Amino acid sequence: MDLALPPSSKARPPSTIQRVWEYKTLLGSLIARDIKLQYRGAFLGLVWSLLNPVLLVLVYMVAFKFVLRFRLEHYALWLLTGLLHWQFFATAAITSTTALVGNANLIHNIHFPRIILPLAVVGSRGVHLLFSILAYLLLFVPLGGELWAGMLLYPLVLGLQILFVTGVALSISILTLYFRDLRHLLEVGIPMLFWLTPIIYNFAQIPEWAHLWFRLNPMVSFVISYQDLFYLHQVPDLANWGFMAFMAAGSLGLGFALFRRLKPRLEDYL
Amino acid sequence: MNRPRIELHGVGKQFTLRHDATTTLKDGILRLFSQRRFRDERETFWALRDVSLAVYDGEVVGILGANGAGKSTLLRIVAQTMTPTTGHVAVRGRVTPLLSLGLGFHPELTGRENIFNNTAFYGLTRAQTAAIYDDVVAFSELERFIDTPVKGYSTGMRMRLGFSIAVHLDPDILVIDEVLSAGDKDFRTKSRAKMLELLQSGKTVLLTSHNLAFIEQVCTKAFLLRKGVLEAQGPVAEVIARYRSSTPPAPVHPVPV
Repeated sequence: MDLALPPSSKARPPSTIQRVWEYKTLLGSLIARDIKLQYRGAFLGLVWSLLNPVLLVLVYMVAFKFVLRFRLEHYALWLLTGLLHWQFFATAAITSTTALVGNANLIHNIHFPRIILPLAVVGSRGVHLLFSILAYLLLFVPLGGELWAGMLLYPLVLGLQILFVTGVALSISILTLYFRDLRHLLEVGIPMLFWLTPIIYNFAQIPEWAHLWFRLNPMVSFVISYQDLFYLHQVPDLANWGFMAFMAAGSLGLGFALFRRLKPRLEDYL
Repeated sequence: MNRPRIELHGVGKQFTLRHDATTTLKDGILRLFSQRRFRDERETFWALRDVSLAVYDGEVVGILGANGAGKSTLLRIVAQTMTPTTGHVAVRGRVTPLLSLGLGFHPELTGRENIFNNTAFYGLTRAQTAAIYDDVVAFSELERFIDTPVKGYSTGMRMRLGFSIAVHLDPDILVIDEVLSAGDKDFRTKSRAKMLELLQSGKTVLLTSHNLAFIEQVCTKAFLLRKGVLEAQGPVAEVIARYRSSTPPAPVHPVPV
């Protein structure tokens, strides 16, 4: 792999955060555009972002509750809890493959912080998640959920997941420039990872010796925390927080490092 | 302050000619095992070599050179849409590259939405765009269609909107690659006049054109590139004379501005 870095061309460029802040209008505009486009002309509009998980839940109910006789109470609630947050990760990961590659023309002709493009992917998927969380909260009690104080920890877990997904989006968007088949790999790999995440089943059902292996999948710890907060009424244990913080920091660190290192030759590879 | 608006020191740009334009993960993995052989297949060439130059506030500079001399590469490096392989670049002020028109228009969005979205790429806030919005629409003559999706626009209409946005951005530095007018005959006249007005409004401008007469008319200074090397710079008349004398006769056919 030839990813050598040419010497830096500027003495002291403004930090990435400053640059992103300067272009916050662009970030907002791209997120708004994405959401507008998705729902413009669609008969059911926003309902789609809620209908999709609901339909999936129905199918899983048939397969696992009706046929395989899983004995998890309030199974629909269990499924939705993991599924919504999984979809945020999965769609952001797949969509970010085109964040840079799909905007080659703009990148070649206008100077703006390139990092805005993958950030906009996370932003628009994040807005979708918020919509579905609102619907989820409306369904929460009817589906058998009970409110309790621990749910106040939710923003903290979600925040960590957003950081994690941001790192993933940065890495994937820039690596796709060098490896165009990354998208195909993800289209196969992410659905595979789904089955290795305790969304349909409970992490406790996994034999103990395999727990650490499953934990290598970053989404496992996040999903466990959501289930703790919304379903099991317990505060996620320390190990779980540790895994989440580690995955968030690691992913973000890797994403920024890759982006910084590969950015100087980004235009040449488009 | 008399520091140059644009400064290049020893700027070089090397391109790798990849015969197979994209890499795949498979190639990457193969390459890990046989690094040598794959790398040897690559060819490189320098589009620019050791270019040092300075452009001061208010100068309108034309870049001359045959096709492939590195004009566009130089413009892209100044516009910061390309990173040089060697050397240093300093650009002071907001640069607006006009390298092509109507970029990033989304067909499903209306003209209005596209204006706001497009200017955001150039770093304008919504308030800044709102301030120029009426002028952009009026100049493009698209008032009736501005709230309809751009997918229904003709190519000419799209060019008019793109041009109109471009000339209303009000940057400190303009970088123009042959984009000097757009649209049908009437709009061409109008846009050419607007471009001239812009070029004479005291902004710092770097432009290329195959139309030497036009360059001679609007530029105060010129750079001559040959095979990526800065061969001459100075007052526009001198550099053009030198370019003419060193170029085989009659390659310069007039291109409408």
